[in-house]
Amino acid sequence: MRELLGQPRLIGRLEERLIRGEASHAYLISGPRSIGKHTFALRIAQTLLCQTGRTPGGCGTCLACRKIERGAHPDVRSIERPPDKERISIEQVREMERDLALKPLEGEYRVVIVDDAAELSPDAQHSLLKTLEEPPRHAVLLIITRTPQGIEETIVSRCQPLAMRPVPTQRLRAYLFERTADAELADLVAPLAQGRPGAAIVLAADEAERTRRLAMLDELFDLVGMRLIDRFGFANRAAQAAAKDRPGLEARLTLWLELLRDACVGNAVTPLHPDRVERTTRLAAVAGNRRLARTAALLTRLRDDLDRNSNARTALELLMLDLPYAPEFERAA
Amino acid sequence: MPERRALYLRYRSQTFAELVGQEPVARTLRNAIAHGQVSHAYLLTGPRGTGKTSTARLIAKAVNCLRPKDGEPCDECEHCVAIRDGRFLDLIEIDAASNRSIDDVRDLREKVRFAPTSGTYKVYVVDEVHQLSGDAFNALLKTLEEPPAHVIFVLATTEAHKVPPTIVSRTQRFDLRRIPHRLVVETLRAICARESFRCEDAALEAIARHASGSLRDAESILDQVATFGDGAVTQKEVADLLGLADADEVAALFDALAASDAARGVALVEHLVDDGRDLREFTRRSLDHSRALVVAQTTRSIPPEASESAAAALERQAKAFTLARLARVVRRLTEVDVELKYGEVSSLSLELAIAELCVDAAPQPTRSEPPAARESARPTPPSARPSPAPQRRAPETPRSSSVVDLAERRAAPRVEVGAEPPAYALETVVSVWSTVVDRFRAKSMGLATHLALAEPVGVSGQVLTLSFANDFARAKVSSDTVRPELERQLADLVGSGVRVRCVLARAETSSDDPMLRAAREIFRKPDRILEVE
Repeated sequence: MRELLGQPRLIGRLEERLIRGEASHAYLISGPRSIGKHTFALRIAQTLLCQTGRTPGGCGTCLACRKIERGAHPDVRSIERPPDKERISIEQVREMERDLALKPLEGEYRVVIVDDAAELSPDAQHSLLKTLEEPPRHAVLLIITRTPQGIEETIVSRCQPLAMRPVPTQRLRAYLFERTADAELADLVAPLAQGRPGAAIVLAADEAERTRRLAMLDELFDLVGMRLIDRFGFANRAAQAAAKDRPGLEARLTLWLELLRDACVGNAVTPLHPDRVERTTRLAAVAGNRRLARTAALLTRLRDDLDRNSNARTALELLMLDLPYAPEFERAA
Repeated sequence: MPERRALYLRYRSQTFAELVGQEPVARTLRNAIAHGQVSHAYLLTGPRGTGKTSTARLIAKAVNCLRPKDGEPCDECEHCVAIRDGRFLDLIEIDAASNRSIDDVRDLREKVRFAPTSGTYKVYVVDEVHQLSGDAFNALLKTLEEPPAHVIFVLATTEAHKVPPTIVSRTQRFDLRRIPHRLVVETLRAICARESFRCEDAALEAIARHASGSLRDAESILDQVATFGDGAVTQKEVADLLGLADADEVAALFDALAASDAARGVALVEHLVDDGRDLREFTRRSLDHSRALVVAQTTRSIPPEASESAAAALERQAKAFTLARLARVVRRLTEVDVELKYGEVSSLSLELAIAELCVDAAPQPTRSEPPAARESARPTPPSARPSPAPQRRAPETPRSSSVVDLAERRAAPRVEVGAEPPAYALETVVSVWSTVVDRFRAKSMGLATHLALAEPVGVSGQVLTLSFANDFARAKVSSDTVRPELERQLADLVGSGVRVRCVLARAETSSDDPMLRAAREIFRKPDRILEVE
């Protein structure tokens, strides 16, 4: 499908079915942030409603495809959380259900996109159930969510699953090169995006963010060369920054985990951060795999705790105590 | 448009006999209806996809059928056909999740009074009933208790605990259970025969395993596989669709773990990801495999259903793993399973687990801690350090820094012991220690607590050294009223004369290094603390 990266298995099968007119009445599109779930939903709608018919992903140029892209197609309805609310309300779902009962205006289908289903209030989720089970014949519901565990089991069981997975870094690099024609930039950005095309596009365009991410990678090595007192100073600063920018802290910990992974598994496997291989290898030699694996386990736990809103400073300080110490990583003042 | 109604809708059970896996419920209902003992209200509960809505419709059919046979609807008469097609006027389905207010219930109460149009009974099916609001439930109470003679209520829900007890007690409750694996497979096979799909047994097994007792899930998967495969349901298609790992890949992971080859294990995960496989599914299969290994090791038998290559792998690996190591593998993989469940989609957590497990196979770890600060980097003179410590442990980790065991430097009491050959083993004392504590518990709770926190640290001749965390406890136990009694009890349990010496655990109290104290608190008494310089 147009501009949809990775997921070859998933898309190949789906296209075939959509074009044969055998769309299921409900799909559950799941996958991590910025991986392209909404794009995927739009492409499905375009495949179903494209005026040329039988074009996987839609032609992208006909009136129907363009209207869908702009969110202006009368037969495609998107349900999202209003910016001033915490959740998608039951009223929004009811309104959609009333609408869905009517025959489509332009094409053969009425498509509903719910993004993100985890934001549906519990009542709204339940009110979706009956529609999801036996919707009108012209209906196709596309339910978007990060993980199926975030929504009611009864909803999941009524949908066909479309699980999107991280895009291999090589594929991301190729895509970035195609887009920007800048090989150096592609090499730099692809490993930072953690398999998410959306993140890659943002990083390619935003130099400040890119520099920030690269600096985060180097922090780990600096910390290994720091004495405790300096580490605690760092933890303090990072925790203060995290008060305003939690995702930033999560990204930082994930990047560190990726470095530890590279160090633990050695050279036999493609490294996630090829530019840092020299230092990860050195780190492994100094601290030992076992030691690093342990730190990685602690880091994973801390990241989970942070996800459940634990205290950032305590978490970081614990990590500071656990990180191995090797003076050769000390940065010349 | 071609037929695009899902299989699970087309194959809804149309008679009690067709209802899968709910034998007791079906029989009870059929008998009641055959004997004219129809209740005025039913409550159907059970997990997703077990047949609640189907049963509700069956009740409507059975009571309204023109030619019922022993309580079983004929599925041919006018009424049965009308119900099947969803156009029978006396079957009213209410979606309680969308119509959950008190006004909706009031409206319902009004309508309930009118006689059925064509059938014998008017049947109200209230699906997702747990979603009614509190007021709505209460408004329903009177109607539910004594409805008009021509009305039957069938309430259905996945969450029975959310239905108020006052409602439950006015209904006959039936709990539908998860459908057994075997029955799911048989049902799938029957559908394949009716739809003339060509199917492999292994494929149906895999589908049923994935559906875990929900027939709707199973039929939904079958639906997808069959359309993609153009009517062929093969193991490969199912594995592809669900992202299942095959047994050989799972076995390959365990071979890598057995060889402590982290690189190979991680390369395998990389390959799975590139292939678009579901890592959570793979982790689950790996957990199953480790269970099979535990069984193979303890019973020395290979499950007969294992394929030839799987049996060979089990036999090979059962020799390569110790039970303790397998336990670690299971624990770590379970953690990964949870991480993957809650949104961690990248392969990182599985890769790290593999790296960790491969490293774990080697002997006990060392810890390197950074010095507290520049000025306190050398809190004690170098002569106090037993330098051979690092070489003794973990020879496989090359290390450029020298490592010092802080705990050893702080010389815990155990170092002082060992002048005479012991008259009994320290392990014996440790193993009976809880019994000793129990015996004292009857006399004095406080004393028992002191003893429970005391640590037998050494034996020299008949003298047992007990280490105490604080001086108060030490003084209490070594007092002339307590010590002789303790010695008697110990002699009784150990089977030799015992003299007790009480000392203070110095490592705990040494206040010269706040860093060490902090580290101890944070890591909750680690085995040892090392310092890297």
